[in-house]
Amino acid sequence: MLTLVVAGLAAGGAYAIFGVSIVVLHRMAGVVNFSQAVVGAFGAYVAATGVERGWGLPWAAAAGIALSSVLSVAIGLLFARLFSEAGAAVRTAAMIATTVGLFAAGFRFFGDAPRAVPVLLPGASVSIGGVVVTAGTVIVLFIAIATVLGMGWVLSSTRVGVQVRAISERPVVAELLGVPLFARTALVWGFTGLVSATGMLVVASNLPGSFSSLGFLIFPAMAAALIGAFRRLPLAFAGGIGVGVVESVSSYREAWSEYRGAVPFLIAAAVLLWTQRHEVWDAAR
Amino acid sequence: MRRGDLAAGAAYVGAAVTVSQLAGPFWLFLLTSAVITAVVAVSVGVIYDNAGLLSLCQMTFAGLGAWTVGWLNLKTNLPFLAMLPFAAAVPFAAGVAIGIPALRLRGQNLAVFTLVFSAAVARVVFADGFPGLIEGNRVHPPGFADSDSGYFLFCAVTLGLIGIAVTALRRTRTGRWWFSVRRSERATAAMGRSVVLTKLSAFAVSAAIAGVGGALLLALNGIVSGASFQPIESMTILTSALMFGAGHLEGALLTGLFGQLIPNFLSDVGLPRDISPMLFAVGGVIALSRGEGGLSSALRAAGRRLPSLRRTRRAETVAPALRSLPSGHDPAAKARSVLDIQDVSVSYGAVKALDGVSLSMPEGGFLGLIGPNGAGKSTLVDALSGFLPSHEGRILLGGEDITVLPPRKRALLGLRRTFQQGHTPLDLTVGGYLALASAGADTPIAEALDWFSLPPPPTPIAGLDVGSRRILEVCGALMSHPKVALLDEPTAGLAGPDRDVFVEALAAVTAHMGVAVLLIEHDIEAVVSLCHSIAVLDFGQLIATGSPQDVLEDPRVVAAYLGSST
Repeated sequence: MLTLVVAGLAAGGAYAIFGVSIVVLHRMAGVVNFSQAVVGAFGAYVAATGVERGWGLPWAAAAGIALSSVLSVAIGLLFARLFSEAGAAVRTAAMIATTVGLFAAGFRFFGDAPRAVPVLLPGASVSIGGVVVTAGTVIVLFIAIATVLGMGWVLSSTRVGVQVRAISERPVVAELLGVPLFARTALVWGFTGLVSATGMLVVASNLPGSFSSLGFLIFPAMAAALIGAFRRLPLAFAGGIGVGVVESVSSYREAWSEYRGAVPFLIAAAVLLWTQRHEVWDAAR
Repeated sequence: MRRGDLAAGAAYVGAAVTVSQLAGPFWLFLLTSAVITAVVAVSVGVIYDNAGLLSLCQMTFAGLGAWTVGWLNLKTNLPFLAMLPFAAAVPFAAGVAIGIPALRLRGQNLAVFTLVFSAAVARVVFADGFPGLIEGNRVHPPGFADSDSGYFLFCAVTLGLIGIAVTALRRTRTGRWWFSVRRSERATAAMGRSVVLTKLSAFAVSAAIAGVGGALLLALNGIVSGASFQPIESMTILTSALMFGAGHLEGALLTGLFGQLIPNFLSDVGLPRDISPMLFAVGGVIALSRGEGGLSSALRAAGRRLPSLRRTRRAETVAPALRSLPSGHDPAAKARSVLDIQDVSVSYGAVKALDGVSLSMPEGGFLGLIGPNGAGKSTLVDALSGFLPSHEGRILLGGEDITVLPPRKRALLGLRRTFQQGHTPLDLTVGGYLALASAGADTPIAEALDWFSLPPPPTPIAGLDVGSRRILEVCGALMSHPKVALLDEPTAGLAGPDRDVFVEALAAVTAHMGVAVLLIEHDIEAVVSLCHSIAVLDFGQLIATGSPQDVLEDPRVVAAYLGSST
């Protein structure tokens, strides 16, 4: 059982990274990013392709992470340009369309056959209480926690954080106040792209990863972001870990594992029903 | 049946028959797939374009339809036609089942909810294999359509029938309410309609249509796997529906046609066929950035000359008929109170938005409610119409305690309201909206439009200026013959002669119908000319009530508006 819990931590850490990234973007750009995982998958697959072609592992990984960041920035600038004044429903629909396009692009470039994503730190592991924890798990958890703490601090206590929040809520007003819209948008999207690609690189080596299955890590990630109500970073982190562990533990018994795929849905449904229970009416008075 | 519909229907039948006779097996398969995709696109049109619900599980509903038929085919000897109703019924039930928890979810939350639902069904139900897949138990089209051209025609006829049914439904009350709930849930409830029923009916109908699409797909291929019904497929069809605008039938048809033809065209010209979703993504994003509704809406708008947005109403004087309207006032009724507000208080944390407000309105009375911004006027209207989660005090309508009733029930009992922002659904026509708003009351629509100098019934609301939309909302509320109408700043957005004409019409119509009106208004001139008495709110407290003359000279009222001189 404990082994399963620890095994769930690796996947849970990745869910947490994506979930936290989604929350960060939602707070900073006002968009629910359905493409968070697929952007990371681009990075992981570019790295895998690089290694296949004989690049050194560090170079391949760096190229993958850089590509994801650039891709993320491009999406961010597109949304800032076209949808900064649009309502949340329109932005969400546009994000879904964008995600569909990214999946199609991924299939085109990489195919949908599973590939081996290089293991960043082969063989490294630590043993805690008799249970082996791989270096990958430790790294993923570290990135997730660092993102929560770092972005929490940036959002609440720095000038950049305030500027970015202003952009997300009132882009025109923020621009009139002299906030550099372009630079701040690029910064936020680039950062979440970077974090997602790094997280994806670390976990992808453990997953039977076809391009789409990596992109579909968006489902548990969305469940994690929902647990954080798209606002609270620590809760989104806990949610990601929770979904990963519950999924892993659900394979403890044969009868349960059949329903493993429903875990994100059940958790998301429960969270939504609870948090939205007072939202009887639509927003406008 | 309209003439345009007949022409479009004849063209559709002609095209379908021609294709079935001339096309070879390859094209027939392609176009049959296109027709089936169009069926699912119609379901997207209902749930997203009509009802405004961002659902990402339409292909899951299609999969449930296919799963049902596969199961029936394995377990029973039913012919395909007999299984088809089940392919609609099971997703219909699933639509209600998923719609109930989704009732309080909107926008991004609803999208995430339906997306993870579709992922869960794909992994738990569909991944286990479709019934008949392993056994190789093929589903066959009905015997009379068991050829390539026959099955194409069968699918085309099914799409045609669904199209006719959906078009008819969009013109019934049920369908019009979908447009209303898309625009505003509050306004829908304030007109006496159940928001729950409206949303669930959209979910159920769209799921049933998608289920039929899934069953048709199964019979086209004989067997299917879960691969066709993955979440990404739901996202993809939504994306192309965004681009083409599935809210109109021609948009749904284009979604189906291009969904199949573009990949085929790409491979014909030597390009990879799997880049077509990228094209749809680009098209969907562009369509969204230019306003909702997609290509079909843009084409319709181009084909239809909208009246100028700036000036739709140019009545210089009120309609002559208005001057001769008999007054519905029963002088004896003045003594009877129709709305009693007893000690109503509302607090948000430490802030008291309303503090012990008590008012009484006589039958047919015209009470003005004024006060500076933030005085609590709109909060009082929300409390009276039932949109506040809780408040203290009691509210009686015609002697009946309505304090705990939901907005819909209050509306049905005869308490109607309008909204400051204006919530008339832009997708409806003036006549369509009034038919909803009047709730079957017997005022002839043409006469009421004449009273308020509004354009004729077929005019689309999208073509009205903001002031006229607000007048239309007032007209709708009054046409339902309510006991009490709460009008929240009806003259905002009207200037000069338009305003004077409206104010005169409002006075005549409410007097004729004997409706009691609570008027919230910043336009003091309008308030004075319309109201029998005035109540003034300031910081949530009622600081004065009485005749217009007395109240406006009250030093406390002057101080509230202008600040005290001390």
